[in-house]
This record gives sequence, structure tokens and C-alpha cells, in this order.
Amino acid sequence: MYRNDPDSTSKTTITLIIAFILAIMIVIADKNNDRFLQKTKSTTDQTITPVLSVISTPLRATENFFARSQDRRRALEENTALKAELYQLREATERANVMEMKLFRFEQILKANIGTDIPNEKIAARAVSELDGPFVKAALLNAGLKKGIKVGHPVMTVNGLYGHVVKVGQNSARVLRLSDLNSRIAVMSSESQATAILSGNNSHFPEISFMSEASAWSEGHQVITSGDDGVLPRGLPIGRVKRGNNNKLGVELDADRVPVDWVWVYPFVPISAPEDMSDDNVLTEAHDIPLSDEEAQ
Amino acid sequence: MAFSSYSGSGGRGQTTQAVFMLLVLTLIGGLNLNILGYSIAMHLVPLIGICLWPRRAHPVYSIIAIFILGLLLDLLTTEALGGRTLIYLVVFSIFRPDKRIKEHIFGTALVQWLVSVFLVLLLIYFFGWMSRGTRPEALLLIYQAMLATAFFPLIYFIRYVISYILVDPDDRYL
Repeated sequence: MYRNDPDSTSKTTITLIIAFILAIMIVIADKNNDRFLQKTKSTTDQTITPVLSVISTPLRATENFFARSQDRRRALEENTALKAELYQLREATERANVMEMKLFRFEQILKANIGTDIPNEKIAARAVSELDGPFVKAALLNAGLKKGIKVGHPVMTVNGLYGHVVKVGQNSARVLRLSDLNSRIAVMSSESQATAILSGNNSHFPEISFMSEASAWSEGHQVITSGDDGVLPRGLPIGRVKRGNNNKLGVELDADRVPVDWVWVYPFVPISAPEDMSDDNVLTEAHDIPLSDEEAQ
Repeated sequence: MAFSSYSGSGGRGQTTQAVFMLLVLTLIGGLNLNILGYSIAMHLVPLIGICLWPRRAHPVYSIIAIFILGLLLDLLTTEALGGRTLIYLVVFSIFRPDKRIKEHIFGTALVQWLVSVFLVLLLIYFFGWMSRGTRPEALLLIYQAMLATAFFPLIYFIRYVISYILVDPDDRYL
């Protein structure tokens, strides 16, 4: 079954040993966040994005075919459910309009603006490769700096928050998904306003940890971003609270419901600390504060 | 002369087509398949290329190619750089295609594939656990292995056909 050629064996064995040593050295260098390797990773992302975009096309077509046939089977029951939801939403929209009017009036009286900080502008991008590995939950987008995407920008699917940008090149961006082990997002319950941290655990069911009031969280609550971390805007939908097998509270992610193809990146500018701002924009003395029109009069 | 059995157009042809096949499988390995409610990474698919590595391919060039393509898969999957390369090299050094006397028939190739997958799953599980401090989702790894196994017959067939068309009759088999 196997042959033995001493010449080739020795050369091959030496090459194998060298390859093993090199590979181990690369693993160690990567663990120490070697700058050259990080740059290489970024360059590879940019180079490979167009290739992956082409390769993933038949794969996405297959996924869409299965998704569409599933949709067709559920069409009738979905239609009934959607009609019911539509009637509910019409009423909810009317209520929301009234509330918006009231809120606007209160804001005028109090001279406060407590409106949402979700930007109106969206950048569309395609998730050319979605990684669902045992250690990494990430995605590669085919848009980058040229389209205005920056590190930290939230990434949304039609259903909810998908993750945030962690690396960006000229034409590509790497997204850290909510389920990744390194993902930590400040969240709140829409129902109780209680805050917590959503911690990714490399499963499809990230855990709710560091709850401000544990009793204020229960199954079925809608989870949204709280904006407390100053990194993501407040109010982005994430999913619903569900109790896991280990009796811990987790979140069933809205973004996981369907295969992800197109996403939106919100060019959200986080709040800057005064010490991070340029000197011209920082007022340190009380007399520096400009008077309002009324006070000036 | 060393590697005389790997030189010549046959050996070069075998090496080239094996490297090309592994490159294509590596690019596919960077993708995810979302189907029937399951999201499964295709990270184990490139391993098929290692298992079906032709015995007449030049071993030194093969190791260099496997090393580079392992790094490429690490970059694509944003896993720890060098980890996948190590796993590929372990599989290559255990099965050593250049030491094989007989050509691969489907049955033996499948057995070798199943053993490789089992070994790789163990390596990923325990090395991942040790290096990251958290156990990977075992079920996810098993799904990946099942998906790659489903691809195995197709890739074996494509590999066989390419070999039949491009390579001399004497060097044809895997």
C-alpha cells in the first residue's frame, strides 16, 4: 500500500518539519496581534471580496430557491397572519402619530430633544461571505471606506441588528456578529426599560448578562440597543428574550431568522468624550458658554 | 535523483491540478450555506482536497502549497492564523500521499476521509478549547463534517474526471 523512497522521504520530512515550525510561529505571532499579520489580513479581505462575491452567487441562488419554496408552502398561513398584523399596525401607526405629536410638543415645552439617534442615512452592502465557524461568527461586506463605512458602524438586516463593523478596507468591511464570543452590546428591554449586556457565546442564542434588574427581564420581551455604550444608537431591534436550556436568559436574534444577503450599515457617529475632541470645540469655563437668543436679550 | 518519480509532465500535472483543486475548495470553504433553517460553514470542504491528494504529486511542492492555502483559509475564515495550516499538515503527514503505492479507489478514499474528519474534529475541538478557553459548539462541528461528507463523492468524481482528461494514462489515478 505504501512505498519507501529514502531520498524523497528525507527531503519531504525536512520540509514538513520546517512547515510545522513556521505554522506554529505564525499561530503564536497571530495570538500576539502581530501588526504585519493584521495588515495582511486586511489586504486579503480586500483582495478576496470580489472573488467570494462571484463564488457565493450560485450558493445564494440555491439558498434563495429553498427559501422561496419554503415561503410558498407557508404562503396561505402567512397571508392570514400578515393581514391580522396589518390591521394591528394601522391602529398602532395612528397611535404612534398621536404620540409623536405629543412628544414633539413636550420637547418644545421642555426645550429638550430626546428623539432617537438612529441615522436616516443607510449604506447598502452585500454580505458576500458569512462565517458560522465554531470559534468565529463574522461576515464580509463588499463595501468599505469608499462608501463611507467606518469601524463601529452598526449593521442591520431587514429583521434586526446583525453586528457591527470591526475592520474596514477600501472596498470591504468585516462585521462581528452579535453571536460571536467577542461581541458585547448594551441592550434594554422595550417593555421594562431594564438594561443589560448582550454577550455573544458562539451559539445562535447570545446570553443576557449584567442585568440592571434581573426581575425586570422575562421571556418574550423585545430587546433593543440601549445606546448606553455610546457605540451604537439607541433603539435598534435585536430580538426576543427566551429562556435557554441552562435556565439562563438569552435572545433569539431577529437577524438569524433568514439567510443574510443584503444588509444596511448605519453611519452612526458615536458621542465623543470632551478629551477626545479638538481644543476649538471644548468649552472649559462657564463664561465660554454662548448665551441663547432669549438670554442675550 | 531525488523525487524522480514525481518529475516529468505527469508529476507536474498532478501537482498543478491538486493545488488548483485545493485552491477552489479553499475559496468554497470560506463560504457558509444557509439552508432549511440551518447555517453551516463549509470550512471542512477543503480537507477533501488534502485527502484526495494525488500520490504522484511532488511532495515538497505539495507541502508548500498546502501551507499557503491553509493560511488562505485561515484568512478567509478569520480563524487563528496558522491553525488550519497545522491541521492540514497533520493530515498530510499522517496519510502521506507520496508513500501510497496503489491508486485511491472510492472506498479507500472514503475511509481515509472519514478518519481524517474524525481526527480534525478532535483537533479543532481540543485545540480550540485550550487556546480560546471556551468549548466550541460540538453540534456545529458535526454539521460541518456532515456537509463536507455530502460533498465528498461529488468532489471525488470531479477530481477523477479532471485527472482522466488532463493527465497521462500512466499517472491518471489518484
